[in-house]
Amino acid sequence: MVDRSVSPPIHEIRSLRLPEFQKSAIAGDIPLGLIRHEDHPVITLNVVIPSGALQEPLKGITYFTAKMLSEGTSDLNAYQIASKIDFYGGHLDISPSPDHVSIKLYSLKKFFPTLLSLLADILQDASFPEKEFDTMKQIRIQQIKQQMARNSVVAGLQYRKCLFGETHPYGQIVEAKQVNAISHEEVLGHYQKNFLRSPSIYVAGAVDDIEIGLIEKEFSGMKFSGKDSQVMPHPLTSENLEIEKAESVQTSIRMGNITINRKHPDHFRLKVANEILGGFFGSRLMMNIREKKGLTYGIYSSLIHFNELSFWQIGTDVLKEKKDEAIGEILNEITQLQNIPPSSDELFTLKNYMKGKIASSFDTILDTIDLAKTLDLNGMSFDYWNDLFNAIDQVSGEDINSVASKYFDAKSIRIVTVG
Amino acid sequence: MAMINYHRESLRNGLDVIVHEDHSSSTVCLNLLYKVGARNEDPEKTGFAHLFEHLMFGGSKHVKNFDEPLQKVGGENNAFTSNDITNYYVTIPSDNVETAFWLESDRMLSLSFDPEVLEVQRRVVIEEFKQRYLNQPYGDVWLKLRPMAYKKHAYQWPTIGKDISHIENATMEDVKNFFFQYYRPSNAILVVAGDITVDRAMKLSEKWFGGIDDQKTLVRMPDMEPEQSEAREMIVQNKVPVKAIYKTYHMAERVSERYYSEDLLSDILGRGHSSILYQKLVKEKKYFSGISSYITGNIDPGLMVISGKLNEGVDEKMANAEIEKIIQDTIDKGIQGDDLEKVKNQSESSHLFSQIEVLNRAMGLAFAAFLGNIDLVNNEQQYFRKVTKDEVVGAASRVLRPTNCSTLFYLPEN
Repeated sequence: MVDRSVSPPIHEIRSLRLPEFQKSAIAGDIPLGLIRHEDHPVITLNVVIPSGALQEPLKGITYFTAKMLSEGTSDLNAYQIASKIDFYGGHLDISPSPDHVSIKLYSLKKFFPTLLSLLADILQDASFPEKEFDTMKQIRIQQIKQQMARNSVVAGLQYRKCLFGETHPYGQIVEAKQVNAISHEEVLGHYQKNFLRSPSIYVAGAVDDIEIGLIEKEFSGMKFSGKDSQVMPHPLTSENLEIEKAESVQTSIRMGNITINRKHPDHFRLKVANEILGGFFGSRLMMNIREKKGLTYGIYSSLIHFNELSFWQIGTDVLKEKKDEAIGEILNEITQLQNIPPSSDELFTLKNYMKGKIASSFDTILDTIDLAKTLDLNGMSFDYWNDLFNAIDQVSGEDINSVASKYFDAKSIRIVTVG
Repeated sequence: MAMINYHRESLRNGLDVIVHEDHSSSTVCLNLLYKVGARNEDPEKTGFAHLFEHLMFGGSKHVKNFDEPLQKVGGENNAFTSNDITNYYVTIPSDNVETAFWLESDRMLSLSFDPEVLEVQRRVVIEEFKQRYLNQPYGDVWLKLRPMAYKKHAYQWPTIGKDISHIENATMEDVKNFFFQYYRPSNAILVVAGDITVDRAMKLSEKWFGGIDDQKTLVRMPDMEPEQSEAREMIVQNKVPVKAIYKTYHMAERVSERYYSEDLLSDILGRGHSSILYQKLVKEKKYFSGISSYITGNIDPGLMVISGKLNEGVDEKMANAEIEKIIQDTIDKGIQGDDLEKVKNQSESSHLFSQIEVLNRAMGLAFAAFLGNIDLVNNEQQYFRKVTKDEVVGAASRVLRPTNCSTLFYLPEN
């Protein structure tokens, strides 16, 4: 008879098996990051163009400049491009973010040459048809309206505006009327002038020298403008914000502050402290606000890193009439974390959990290349993960009190509520 | 195409064990599928399968808390409930895999049935109901669509339940009955996948699950839905930013031969920006800001859905008539050019990309076994490849009939 009252032996997770991330340069000076994995006949190619909110001549224009790329070239119209990608079972994902535009191609290995050549056409030979722009603008306005009807979306945007300021690239909110004012000439002008800044490329999957050769060939013929030298402005944090909505049954809460980046000597300790506070299902916030009080379906605390600035954010949707109780409990949990060292048992669990989670984040090639990319774009090595993995064991309960006091300081916390 | 290898063996108590080896990473997935979903619920006690998903984390006979010991060994877990199944999964470093067997087997043996856990999870589920169904624009659309499309079958309610009062009124006795009715070894499928050998996986399965008694209990099966014979229509007005149209059509069950042509039909009509509906209604006519079609893929006959959001100022009746005209054209004129080859390639690509993750392979094996044909994980792409244009047109005239359709107009207030 098996003894169910005790756990099977627990093995400490000692080592991390990081896949190999190879860096090289193609076509002269375009950096190429590569992870090879032969088990599945698929390839992803990610072109990252450093054109973000800071480089925008007009608020909201990057979205259209990026999305219009696949709406027509001199040879193919929007329908033909979409049909070609779909016909070859490919997927093209163009997503603008505050720091850059990511263009990601998902392809079966057997169709990669065809889809790569289409991607090259899109980048260099986009024709920006006015008719497609008009349609896209209407759709975008509808999307913004739909997004703005969601409390959690509004809370996220307002929180960033509160931390960084409404004119800051990381804090600005693009509204429907601003989108409506953007013209076709302005978008085309932005593309022709210097939207296509020198990119970085990340490739993963069943890649051989043949595919690398093809990528090199396609990118050798392309023209890009140089990197932008503008400096990110200083953030301008404002006061707490409360947006009341009579019809809401739940309130969306965002709270936290601007915080240190991944290169800061306290970063690993802060990451552990954040994890214990609200980084996972067993976190203190989840245990208290969801599991003990039942005030929410979920609550998380995260450290979010842009290229130039980082911020800390606690996010949750709670029962409307229990909003103040929830905020009070969150602040209580923070105070506890600042003053009482976690028990050795809690710390042991947290550390092994974090190490297990890190180990499993490299289970798929798609996730792995994204993790490598994020660091590389920040000028950081993939070894970050080994360093974090090894640093976790060194963090003591007192370290957690001390970083929590320093970086989760009640005076600097901003609170935004919507609903 | 890479084949998914597997070993399958039943324990004496009826637990179906499937092992898939892949040593390319150092983790193991345990995927435990219970053959119970919202379709097995009593119409007066809906939302139970999903409530159970929550209760399963609230402690079992020998383990006070499910998550904590798992986190201690570096494991992660989650679960989901559908109309057909309840599925639990754990990802864990292979050195510590035994902990996952211990935890999963103990909660199959028996829950703790702690009244406080029931009270808290009842509140969490009610909050989930508010967050997902009430506090989102269009959030309650499936609460409206399901009872319109299904008059007899238990698919007429979503997993959260028909009415939240069923969760509010759930008693501990209901909970116990449900557990011992459905959470038994012979009503479950265990997939062990990843960095583990078949031999070790079978030994651990036998050690931890082998001693759990099976009690044959009566599994409640849903009534079959009679054929729909009239067009159904409903108008809902609510706080939403733009008008939306939802159309549902009854289609074949997941294991039917007809499923493949019907699935590809929905792709041709509404998958991606080159699809017929998107091109005609978003790009050409500009009636919609987005439109797509998809299927629910249920074990009993499910639904094909066409849904779209309208541009401002467009009349919803006219937009709906245009959708129906496009459908009629497809039936009259047949499938054009490369459209069928295209959706087959898309299907192959989605399949290959999803197979990258061991957890997806584990879920795929469990679901195929649940459907009664585990080889679907390796054969299904061939079935899609064999579909002809005539079969797709046949599917269109069979499924996309006006009298087989329920249309919901979701409109902004005033």
